[in-house]
Amino acid sequence: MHLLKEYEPDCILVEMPQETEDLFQHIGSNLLKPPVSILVHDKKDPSRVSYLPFTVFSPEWQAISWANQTGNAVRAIDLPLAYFKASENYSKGLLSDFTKLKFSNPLGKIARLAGFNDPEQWWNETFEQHTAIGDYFPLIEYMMDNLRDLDEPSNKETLVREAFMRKQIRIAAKESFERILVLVGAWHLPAVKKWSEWKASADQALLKPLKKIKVEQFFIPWSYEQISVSSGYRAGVFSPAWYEHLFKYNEEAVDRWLILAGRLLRQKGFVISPAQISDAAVLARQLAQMRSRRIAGIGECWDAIQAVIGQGHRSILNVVWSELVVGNEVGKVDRSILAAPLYKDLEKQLKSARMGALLNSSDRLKKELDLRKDSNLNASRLFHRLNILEVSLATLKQSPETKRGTFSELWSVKWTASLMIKLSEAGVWGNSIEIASCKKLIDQAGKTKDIKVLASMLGLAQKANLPGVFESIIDHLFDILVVNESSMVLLEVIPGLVNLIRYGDLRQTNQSSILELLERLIPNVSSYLPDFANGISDEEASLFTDTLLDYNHALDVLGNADYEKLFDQALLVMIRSQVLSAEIQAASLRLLFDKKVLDIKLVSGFMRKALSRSLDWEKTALWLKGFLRSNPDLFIYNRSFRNLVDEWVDQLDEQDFKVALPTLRKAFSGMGRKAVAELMERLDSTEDAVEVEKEKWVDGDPDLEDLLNFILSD
Amino acid sequence: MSKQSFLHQYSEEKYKKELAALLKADKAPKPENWKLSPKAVVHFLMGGPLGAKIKITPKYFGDRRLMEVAVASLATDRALLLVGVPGTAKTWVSEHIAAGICGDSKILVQGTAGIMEDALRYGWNYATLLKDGPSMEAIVPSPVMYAMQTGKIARIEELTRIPSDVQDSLLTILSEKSLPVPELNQEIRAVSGFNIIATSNTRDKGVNELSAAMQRRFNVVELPLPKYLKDEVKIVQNRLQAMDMQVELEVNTIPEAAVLKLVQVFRELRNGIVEEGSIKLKSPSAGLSTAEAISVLNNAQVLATHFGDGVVGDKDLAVGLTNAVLKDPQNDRAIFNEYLEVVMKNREEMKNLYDACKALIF
Repeated sequence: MHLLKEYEPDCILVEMPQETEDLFQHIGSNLLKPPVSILVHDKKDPSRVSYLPFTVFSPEWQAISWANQTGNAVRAIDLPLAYFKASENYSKGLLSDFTKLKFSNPLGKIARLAGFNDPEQWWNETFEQHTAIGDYFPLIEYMMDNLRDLDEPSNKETLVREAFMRKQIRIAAKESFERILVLVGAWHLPAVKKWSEWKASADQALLKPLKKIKVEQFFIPWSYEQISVSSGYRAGVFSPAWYEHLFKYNEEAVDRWLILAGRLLRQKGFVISPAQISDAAVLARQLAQMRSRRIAGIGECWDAIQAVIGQGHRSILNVVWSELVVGNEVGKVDRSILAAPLYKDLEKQLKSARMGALLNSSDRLKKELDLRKDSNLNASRLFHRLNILEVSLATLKQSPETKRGTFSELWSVKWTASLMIKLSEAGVWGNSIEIASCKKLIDQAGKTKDIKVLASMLGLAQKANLPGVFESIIDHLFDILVVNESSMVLLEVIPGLVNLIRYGDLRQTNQSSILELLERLIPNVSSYLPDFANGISDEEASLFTDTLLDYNHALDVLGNADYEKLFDQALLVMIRSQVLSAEIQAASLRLLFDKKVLDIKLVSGFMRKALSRSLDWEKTALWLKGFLRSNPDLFIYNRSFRNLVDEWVDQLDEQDFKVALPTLRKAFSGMGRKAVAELMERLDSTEDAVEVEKEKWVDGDPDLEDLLNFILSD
Repeated sequence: MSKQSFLHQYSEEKYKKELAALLKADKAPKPENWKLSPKAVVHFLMGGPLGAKIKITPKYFGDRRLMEVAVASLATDRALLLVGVPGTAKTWVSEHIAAGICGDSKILVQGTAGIMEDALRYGWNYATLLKDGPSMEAIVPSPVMYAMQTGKIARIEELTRIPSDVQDSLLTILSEKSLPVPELNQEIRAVSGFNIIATSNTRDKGVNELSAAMQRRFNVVELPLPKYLKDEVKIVQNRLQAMDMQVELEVNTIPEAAVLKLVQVFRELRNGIVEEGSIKLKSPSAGLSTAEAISVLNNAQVLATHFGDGVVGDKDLAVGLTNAVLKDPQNDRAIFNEYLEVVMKNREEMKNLYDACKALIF
């Protein structure tokens, strides 16, 4: 700043992509509150995007707002991003990360040699803290000259950019300005300072082959958090909060920052006395002196807090890291110049769902959406789409899928300014929420081969009503299934897919493609089922049993006789397996009983075997657990089963009974209190009122009859 | 060297030349009564060239930042507390800092559970006391009092082993920089330059935890175990060389491979993971610090010199190693055996060490 006042330039040339110049008029006005960022994207493909963030302490921000205030000219002289965008080669590095440019590697190395972890601090200490301008410019120039010679020949990108900058300087020089100030990164100093020594024609030759595309640029709000993430200095800590302090308070920054640290820690429940803060300040100064720094930097403050307050541990600082180091400042861009297309779309859609007021409040609200109403259904789809885009405006608390028998979704909704940034980021996927979420989900689906993940994405696509994505994921699934037909994952995925059909009416989706997919999957899964099951250990059996019951339930919903028959056959193989875990075996047997494939006589036979005295009680208890898994109330009504279990318990000695008890309890834990009472009553009564059913279920199925004869001959 | 040499040489004796050279070159501002500036003290600790000819040997291998904080603390009016697990060079660092600052590392109080207030304040010369009554002449100063009077650094070892009520007698000394003598209605005031370096062991945590009032008066610097294998090997080699000079054993230095091997085994067992990061291990109950590795190697060297062929071999290492690891006979044996079978056996360079260890524990 003092530099500007001293030199009083009538024209400032800034190292910013040329197309951003149109936006300069807003800098320093009350339409913008930094941190903000200029977003530049390819008009045709919004996913090709660059951010140019500003903080209040950015030199560019300071210079441009000074020029705006004093009415002097200010221009952007760096190569337009439109050129970079046109060529893939140029697009790395620069586009994603503008802040990093300021300290390219050789400078970072020098800083480290000088004993600084943070190149920014080194630069500050060495150059910017001195008052006379002339003093250090020749020094910097000398250093840069040498560095550029040492470094690998400056890459083409740099050369082209510098040629462009010189061209702009020439243009400005021809006009009637008297004092032109060129604000560029030190790295470019040798190339820009002696601009008149370079031939204009040579520069032109470099620029000529470049192609240009159409881009759009506008301001979006930014946050310190984002700046700190994107600048990512590996060696040091990049701390926007610290630099803001330094900018605002200069010499007093250390004390102010430590006081802030103390206050924040007190808020988190630490007891910090003012004396400790002043002790830390003393230590920080002492350290700075020892390290030959003019004033203490964040590193010294850090060390001081650790030693004085943190008992030598760094962990105390993690508590206040985000506030103290990163800072929770979020910028603002006035609506009149806000151009983020997704935000506009969101505004429009919320309005049509009569929720427009939501964006003006920062309270957390509960919204219950009745999916049978069109406007509510649309709002639900909007929320799901936003979640796909990771714009977490709304969190789902309850849905028909989780709470059966309802038609409503319960959402918790909260708008915050930081979502604005998320929305802008999501803008890379498209200019409307529907298109963006569609593209993003397709992109994610294309990157994974995980069937489970894909199945859950299908669910998302359904809820967000993105039929295009839906079809494309199903196609993708078909491709993967070709190599994965025998995977056990499929067993777990099918119930979810069936759910999609079940709620399809409510969500208004086309079901035929899922049915087609299921037609391909179910026969395979059922035929491989016995093999999968054999591979399950006792520890995993409980989970597998649940999966099996879900699968059975899913087949129930579909109500396809062919599917049922295949499943029955698989179960019949499973109950005879020698290696299958007892719990799964019992659950399979129970399923066959419930489905009326096996009658009570056969099932009792199996049960008697399972409860034989010779077997180890633990296994038997597991068996019972599996048998009762689907519905434990069976014993209330069925005397013969009950008697079998009774007999088994009777022959256990006290010691064994005690040990088997926990598993038994678990086995019966699914019974309600009332059911238990009823069971106890029946156990007491000698006469059983319920007649045991004695039908034969296998009539007319020769396959099954053969099978059963085989089993019985065992 | 003189005819009679001592087992332990104080830092200021041993590095007399280095300290003199640093003093000569030291231009940075010094706190009152400091021999060297804080910057020079850190230079003394961390080592590095001084001018073109002189090279200061490094005494501390680790983060320079920690030493800077430690020395800077002493220049403020707070005392310094060095904490860390056993064998992280706390005492070593405190001795060298004291030598650097005031050229005297001998003003020392060893903290014990049975220590009395006298050791931190003053005692009485009872003959004079009975003869003439209480007077300044009858007072026998403690090391702390002596440091106050001379403006030097007092060192207190194992601060947290000292009972809390005795610890409390340091409060006035640290906050008021004075030591009241109520019997004479007088006080002894600390001369500039006085400060205290205390050390405490994190394994003792909770024995006599510092009170809030005490904590307020100390800046704490935690000395960590060496982060990288390379650093730890360097520390061990350096210390071994220093010991050779001391004990004057005329032996070949221990082969680097042996040092590397042993330090690696120590680190892997201590950290519960192999250096490559691919296998997780159980850690035995023993601390297995760097200092212990040094003592095992030293032991191996003595074994090799007096009972072996002079060169430290895997058999010599195995004896010390198994002794260091097997503190709890049952658990540690199982853990060590697992390490031998899973890790050591599969490393070509550790084959012989594996055989030697196996022969010892079974």
